[in-house]
Amino acid sequence: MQPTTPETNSPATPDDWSRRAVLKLSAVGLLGAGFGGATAIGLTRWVRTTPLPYRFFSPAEATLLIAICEQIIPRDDAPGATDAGVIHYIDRQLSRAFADHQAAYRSGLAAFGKTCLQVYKTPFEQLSFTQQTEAIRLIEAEQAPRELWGEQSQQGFFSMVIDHTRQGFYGSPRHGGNRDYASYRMLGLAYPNLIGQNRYGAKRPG
Amino acid sequence: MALPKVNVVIVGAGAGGGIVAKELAQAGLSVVLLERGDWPRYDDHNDDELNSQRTPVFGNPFGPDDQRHRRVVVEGDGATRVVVPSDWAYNNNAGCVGGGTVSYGAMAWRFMPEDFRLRTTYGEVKDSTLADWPISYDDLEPFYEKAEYEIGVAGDYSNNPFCGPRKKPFPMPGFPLNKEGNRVAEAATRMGLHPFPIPMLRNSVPYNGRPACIHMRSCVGFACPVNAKAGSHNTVLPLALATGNCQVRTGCVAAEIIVDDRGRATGVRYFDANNKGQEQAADLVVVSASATETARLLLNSKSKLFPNGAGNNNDWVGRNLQGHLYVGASGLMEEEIYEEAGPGATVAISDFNHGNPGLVGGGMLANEFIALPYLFCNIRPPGEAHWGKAHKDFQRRYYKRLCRLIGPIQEIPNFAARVSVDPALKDAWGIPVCRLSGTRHPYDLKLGEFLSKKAEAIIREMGATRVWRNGPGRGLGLSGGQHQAGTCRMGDDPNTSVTNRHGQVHQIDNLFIADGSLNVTNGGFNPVLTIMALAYWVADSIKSGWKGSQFR
Amino acid sequence: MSAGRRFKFLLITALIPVVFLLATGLGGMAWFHFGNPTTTCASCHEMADTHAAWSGSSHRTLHCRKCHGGSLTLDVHALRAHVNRVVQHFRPTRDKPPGLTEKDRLALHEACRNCHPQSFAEWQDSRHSATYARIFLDATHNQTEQLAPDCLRCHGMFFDGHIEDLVTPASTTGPWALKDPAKANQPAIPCLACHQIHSPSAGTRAAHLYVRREQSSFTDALLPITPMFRGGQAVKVSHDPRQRLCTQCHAPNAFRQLGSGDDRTPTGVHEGLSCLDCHGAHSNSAKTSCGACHPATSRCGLDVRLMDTSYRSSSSKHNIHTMACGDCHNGQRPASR
Repeated sequence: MQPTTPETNSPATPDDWSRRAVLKLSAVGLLGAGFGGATAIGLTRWVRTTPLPYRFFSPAEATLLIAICEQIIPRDDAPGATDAGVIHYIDRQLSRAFADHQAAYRSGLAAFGKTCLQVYKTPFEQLSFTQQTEAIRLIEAEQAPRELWGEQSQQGFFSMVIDHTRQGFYGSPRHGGNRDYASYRMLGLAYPNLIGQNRYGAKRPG
Repeated sequence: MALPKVNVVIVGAGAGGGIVAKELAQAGLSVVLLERGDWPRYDDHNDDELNSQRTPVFGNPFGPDDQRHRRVVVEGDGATRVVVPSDWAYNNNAGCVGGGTVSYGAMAWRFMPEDFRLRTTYGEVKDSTLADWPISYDDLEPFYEKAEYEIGVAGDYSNNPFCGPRKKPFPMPGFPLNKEGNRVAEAATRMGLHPFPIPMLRNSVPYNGRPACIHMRSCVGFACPVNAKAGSHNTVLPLALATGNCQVRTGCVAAEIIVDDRGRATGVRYFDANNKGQEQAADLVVVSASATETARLLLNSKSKLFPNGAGNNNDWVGRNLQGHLYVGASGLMEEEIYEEAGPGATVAISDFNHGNPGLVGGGMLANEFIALPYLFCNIRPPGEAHWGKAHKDFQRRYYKRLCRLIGPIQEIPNFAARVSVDPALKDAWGIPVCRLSGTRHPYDLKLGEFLSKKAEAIIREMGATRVWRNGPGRGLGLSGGQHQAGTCRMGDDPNTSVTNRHGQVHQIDNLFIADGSLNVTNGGFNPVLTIMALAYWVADSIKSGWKGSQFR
Repeated sequence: MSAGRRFKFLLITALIPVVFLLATGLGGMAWFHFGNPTTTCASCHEMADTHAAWSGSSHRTLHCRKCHGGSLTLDVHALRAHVNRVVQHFRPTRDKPPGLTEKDRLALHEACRNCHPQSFAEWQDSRHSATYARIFLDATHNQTEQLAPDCLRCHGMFFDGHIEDLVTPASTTGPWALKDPAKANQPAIPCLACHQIHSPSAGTRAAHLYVRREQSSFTDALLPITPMFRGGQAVKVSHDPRQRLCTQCHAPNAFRQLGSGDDRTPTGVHEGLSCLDCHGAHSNSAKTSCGACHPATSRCGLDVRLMDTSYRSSSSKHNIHTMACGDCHNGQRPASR
């Protein structure tokens, strides 16, 4: 079969084709680059305009929880739960290892907040430190209005927060809490644990 | 495709399985060792209290994982609860190559001669299955010695008049006492007791190519960063692998021991690391998967002659589950007695293991491993605050002033404390899970009261300002945990035991057990060295029964 | 339309989306690459802390790319790495924030040289520039002490793997080999072992220790001061923060005994001095430091610069770390001038 060569008769030469193709593709490329750049800019703008200080908590939940944690480990001459970033520990774990506790935090914090509003007519974080302590004792004793808590155990919720606050304060800093290993310094615990090369066997003095 | 047949398939690479693998591989048998976990990696969980086998906040660092494993626990009132491995009620030990020997505290106790004949020594205890072992301390002594020399134990018994006779001294000198240990020893000596350094499966000097201990404070619950702590993974298993006769298959979950219609074990059905079903045929099968999991595997292995599970025609598999009730006392000292050099537990007292007037057995007391800060949050005298400034002040003031003396009591076995398989719940591989039911024997509370009072007296003698007892409490609870034992009891009478004195399952000649399941009673001591000695003992029986190409 | 034309038409039609997508990717990346870090790298919330630290540091005038050239290249590898990070980020099991690989860190290490040639050269002449081969294939050491995960605490702290992935066998008999021969000539203690580039104090005299266990750098001021003992007797220890960093690796054993492990705490006439009082931070050299305190020729006519002060020589009476007055003066006070 003979090859058909009608193109030779057409006004466009192969060179024209290539040139046109290159031009077209360049235009597309420019458009794409512009689009890509714009999308990237747009995306990052969008991300920046919706700041996400926490992965799980809303700012209001975080404010409340920070105040509760500070009650559990208050600041004195040593850092407290807030200074040590306990909220970041809990927040980070809730999106990972503690995903099972998400519901308990969401409903527990809501009930906690409402309890304070109903009993003290003031949000928890605006109560004085002593009043906050009093409010927690109420909840610890399962004495908050039952209808606000429904099925959830008040004492159970607070125990969970105690446990996680301890973990965030006394656990390894690598999990988001214990900032600057504040608790280890408070306890006078050398950290990082300083152990020399063995060379060759550690002997106790004397 | 069926896997090529081997001489031996072993299930579980912990304290027992590692030793059997090494002994048989060195004797020239081809060995496949199945382990559900992986090789332990120090870097994955280093020095992180929240990732410790003791406080598994993020799940057990040395397995098993919470995603794929479940158990059913029957509570006192008959209610059932499904639990995951990081829940204490699961009664977990570990799930990795080396098993519990990777992250244990490494106390290396021989049981005392009396521990092997409790029934003869003390007589019957009502509602119990208390019995003598079919073997004696003297039978096991050479194998204790072998474990001490091959795995490596540091100890010094010059001030312990209560131990059984030893043919050879410890291969390594004992660890010196720390500040707390010295204070305990001084007080105990004034009281006429006999304190001595705890024997440890940990190098006090370089030994067997591994370095000496560097005294990490994070030791128990963690892997050792220098391999000074001896376990199956860094002692016997490398030797087993070096023979070329042993293959360790990790990520492999045993589902069933295949027993043919003539009552012989022909191999193990398991799921490999890709969750694919496999069958490993073998001349003989050794199960060393811990007291709970060994029992579960036997119960899940139903065959024509053993419709209720391998070796279970008498309904004894899974019975007599024991662990250790830990009791003692704590005190707060005026001055700091904390020492940065870990792991903390250094001194023991064995005066109360036996010969307590009017009591059956007893228990050892030792000062406790360093409690890391999170764990310390829960160590409080009764009535102390759990939160707030008072709790923080206590942490700060007493972290370095705490003194603790605790120990395991010899539990009295009972038939109702048991492992069975749950009729409904299955794990991620579709294998029926363990169902734990029953409680400790009430006698344990009496012993617990006794031993905790003894501990309290010593702490008071030390001059602690505030002392409280860590007694047995009111509830009996179920025992098991890391010291789980007793579920496949060895015995001479096939009606009241699961294996014979060699760990060979009655009526299934080529099925052996080599772990704490064999323990008739569990001693007033940490059981790991006894498990190791039993593994050498069982391996020795297998070797002497091995006739060139097959067993018997 | 002929077959050939149709083919070309189809080809170009097919190329259009491909080119568009490629260009989109490139455009996006180019913007990330050349844009202001505040609006690019830092827009990922995982980067917030890192970015905040950087913008407060003495390196804040440098664009990310200047140092992170290893990971922020304008190519497919970088794109893949970035996408991978995002994917990893949304994995429920992931617990660690996105981090740099050892390769990235070694690229950073090279970038340090560009601006700090003098310090880099000093480091290169020091023993801290030891390579993986020098550290991990030292037969004498390996025979004495089994290779263990803890080795990586002070050498090869950025190694992406476990000790058994680095060198085999893990025995005291050898012969030992690096699993990846390419590692042989890489530095085992690079700049980032002691420096945190985003630190606010970089450029001042503070240093940061990289702690492998935590996978982060600890500022020296927060590191513990190690109390030291001779038997039960406490020894005076310098409070120089930078020394705390030295002692993390040149550490005594758990009992804090003088001279144990790798301890070099000075006692005798030099008790209480900081390591850095005599040793150059990068060169480690103490050759010229004697003259800073002592006249070149002592009263007894000895040239302090020529004295054998080595702690390595057990016979040296002038071990600089331990020498006491009596070592030279036989218990007598020298005659006053």
